[in-house]
Amino acid sequence: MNLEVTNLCFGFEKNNYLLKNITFCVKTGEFIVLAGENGSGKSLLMKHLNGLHSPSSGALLFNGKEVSKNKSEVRRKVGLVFQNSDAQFVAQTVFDEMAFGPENLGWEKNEIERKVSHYADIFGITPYLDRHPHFLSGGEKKRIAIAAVMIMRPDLVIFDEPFATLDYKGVISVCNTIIDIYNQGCSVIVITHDLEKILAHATRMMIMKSGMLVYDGKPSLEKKLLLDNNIRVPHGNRRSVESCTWLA
Amino acid sequence: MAGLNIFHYTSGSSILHRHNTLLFFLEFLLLSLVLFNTDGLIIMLFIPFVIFLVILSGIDYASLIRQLKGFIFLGIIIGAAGYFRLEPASVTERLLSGLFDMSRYFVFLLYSIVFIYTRSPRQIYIMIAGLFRFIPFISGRKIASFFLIVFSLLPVVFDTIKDVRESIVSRCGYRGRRVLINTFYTVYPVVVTSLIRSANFADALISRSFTAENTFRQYEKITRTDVIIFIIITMLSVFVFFVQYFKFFDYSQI
Repeated sequence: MNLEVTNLCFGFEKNNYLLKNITFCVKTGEFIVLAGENGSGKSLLMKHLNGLHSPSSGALLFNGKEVSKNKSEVRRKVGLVFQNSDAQFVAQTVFDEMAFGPENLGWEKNEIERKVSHYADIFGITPYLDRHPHFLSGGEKKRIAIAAVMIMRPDLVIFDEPFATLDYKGVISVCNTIIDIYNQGCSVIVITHDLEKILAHATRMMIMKSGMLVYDGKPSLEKKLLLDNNIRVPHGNRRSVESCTWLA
Repeated sequence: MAGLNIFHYTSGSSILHRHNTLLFFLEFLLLSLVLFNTDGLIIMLFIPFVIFLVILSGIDYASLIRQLKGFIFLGIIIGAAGYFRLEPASVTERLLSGLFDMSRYFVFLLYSIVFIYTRSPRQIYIMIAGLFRFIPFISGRKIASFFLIVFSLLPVVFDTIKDVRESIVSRCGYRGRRVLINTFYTVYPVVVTSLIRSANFADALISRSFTAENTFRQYEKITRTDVIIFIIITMLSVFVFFVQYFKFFDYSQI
């Protein structure tokens, strides 16, 4: 898997770009944490990677092919877990929600049932398969949203603010899930403000500000870098990158 | 957990949940045709029938009654309109006219609720795509995709209305009899929020490879039980037409 973004610019209006000259590359086995203040363009950039938006200028290549001309493959290979799980749910039962992607890909019914059952087991959501996803708890909804993306076997999974609105138990559960997905060989991009929850597991950190990529390198807790970009510096004894995790 | 909403599809294993969507829809059309083309006491025949359907579908009665308050009020207005419509006539005839109009409305309402409650948007999609698959030059899947989105958004709109109402009430809203202002305060955020959620919904669909051209391959099969239910409802409809045609019940004699 190789995703290349070169000089990407995007704006809904002409000459008013919300993303400006963004260049980076994502390769197999990377765990990227993307941070930045509200409105810096993180979610917008990630929607480009899934083909939901096309750049106004610049190049966006997935495995050497233009994303805008190869959207169906890109959407299968790049999974997007939305910030608000409720907004992601399209079906009326958890089973249908998980089956939605595979059905779009034209899988056989038996294969779909087998995979849903398999992924429901992995994500611990088997008891909820007949329930309405909107009526479950925040942590359960998040797990269902992730499972519904993972069932399509993507190479890269993008998590948009995965810890937002979750309690302690929910954060731990989602953290474990993200790390499991990474350990299975998927590349992962996590958009978050909460560096202390996940940064220790990242192999790379990116920071965006006002539609520009201002930092792309090793995970860092350099105070000036974080404060200049309105990112909260982890408190207490979380002074090193290695200590920035909520997992024991 | 949020309360049960009768206007949401709710998964279940009742005989109606398992009933073939295409036949269910045809039965719905047939019954609507009969219902709106008959008059008199025969309409009352449908009432035990739809109550039987509600029982079969496994709808929670308490939720049903609680959420139908507004619709019951509308039914009473329809009944009152029926009472005043028939003029000149005796009071008995006018009362019966109102009663029949009201019964017709409730039968249709309950049947619609049973249909929505037991049909998932996905089943509707498969049914429509299946219906159009033999027709050349018309993309059944595009039409079905439109219905899938509309049908999926119905609960979203109902939820949004609930959220907006709670938000207004929690800040001491809806005070006084300012009907227009109160309506505006409710409708405007519902429209805006529904549009925003529609955009999110579209993103969620597309991000997981949903396009009008993609297929749900498995069309629903028609089982023997489906055929038996269809025959029963067809016979009931024919019986109602027969009774209506020969005027066995001439309620003007009452």
